[in-house]
Amino acid sequence: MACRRDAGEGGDGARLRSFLIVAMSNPAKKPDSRDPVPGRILLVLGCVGGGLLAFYLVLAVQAWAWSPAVYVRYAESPRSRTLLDPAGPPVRPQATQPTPVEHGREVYRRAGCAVCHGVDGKGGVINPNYQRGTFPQLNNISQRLFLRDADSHAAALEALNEGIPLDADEDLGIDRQRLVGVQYANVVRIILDGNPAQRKDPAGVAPLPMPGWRDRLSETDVRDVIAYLISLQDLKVYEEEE
Amino acid sequence: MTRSRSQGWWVWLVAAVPVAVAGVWLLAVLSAATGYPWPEPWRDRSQPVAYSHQKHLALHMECTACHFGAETGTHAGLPPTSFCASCHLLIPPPGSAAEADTNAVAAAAAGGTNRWAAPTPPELARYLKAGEEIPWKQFQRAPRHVFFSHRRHVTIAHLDCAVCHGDMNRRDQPVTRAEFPTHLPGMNRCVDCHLKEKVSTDCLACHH
Repeated sequence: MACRRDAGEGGDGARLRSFLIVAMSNPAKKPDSRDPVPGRILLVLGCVGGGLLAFYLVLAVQAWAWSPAVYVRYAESPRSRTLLDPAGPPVRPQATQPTPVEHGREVYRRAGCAVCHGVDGKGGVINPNYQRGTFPQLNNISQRLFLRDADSHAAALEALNEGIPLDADEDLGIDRQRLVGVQYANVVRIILDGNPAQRKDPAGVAPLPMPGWRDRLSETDVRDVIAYLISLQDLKVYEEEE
Repeated sequence: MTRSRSQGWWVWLVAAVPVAVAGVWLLAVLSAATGYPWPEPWRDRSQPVAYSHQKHLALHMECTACHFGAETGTHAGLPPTSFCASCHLLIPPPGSAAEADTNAVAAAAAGGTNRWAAPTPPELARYLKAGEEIPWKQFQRAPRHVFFSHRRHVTIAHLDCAVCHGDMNRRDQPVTRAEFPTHLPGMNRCVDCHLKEKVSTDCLACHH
């Protein structure tokens, strides 16, 4: 058998050994039994093995560095037991249809209104060289619509939640409803068609005006955004006035 | 026994290759573990638009105004270019004082200067005019076996964005690598905070 001849009879193993000797020696020089070839093979194997060892050492360092074992103390908890229970985790209730206020909030955030008018309409974002300094806050729009008491505020919100605009002809139970309707129509117009911004310094940079959203928002979107903004009104203002 | 120099060069070559590989690997591991910006020349880290958080936050814009998903969902998300277009390359209402500056805006988009409050850099103008989304490269990415919800941390835990993302008020260049101010390696940065705040460190709280 070939493997037996490798040991001393000069079979395939001896040929491979001769090939390695020639390959790892100077090509111009013939193999010489006095050359320290076994030592060179060991050196090559040592280098490769050392490299692999260094590689695995790095992996070990990585495993140590990233291991959270030092920090994690509790691998089992009631939550784990619940999730691993064959009955499965509790089923979440299905999402319901969003109300106009919820839809308005979503539109307000997704359309980018919050970039200028602030998250939750609190304003405070600087408009360079704008006469008023900052973009208008919108969480007090209820007052700007002349909804001057809590009952009118609640009635307006209820009407918008039912899909009725505040400039509708029917009686909505709002104090001075005609005036509120005119203001509501003005706000809708500003949202759809935009509004210029007056410069503080005439020679300065042009401040950013309100862009028109007619191409991007539907009438329902605008109505729901206004409903959302009205819902942000701090009702303590009405209590203080009373 | 004598040995010429020409006989020994390949030995050093064979020895150097695994050492070099191990060295590069070690650098990569240290970079990932410490958050230190070790050089990674094999990865293109340039962003398509030189967005400056510093300039926008100086106007008192809020993080969640653009990254609105942080309050409501798993991912914070990136704003669409329509958000940028609200101020940059804006077409003012006809007849307004700002309308006269529209030409100046176009000049700025072509590389000139203007007197518009929101100058538009040329690379941004190109995407806005084409109506395309900016192909941002994502560097902050949780591993696939981790469930990380921004909503839990921002809306429920009221965690400030800077706790994980650092002080963006000073970042005048776009984000080009995952950086965490704690400099703890890997999952330890999560667990460390969870232990401090006395919230769950249960495996299934974060892992699928």
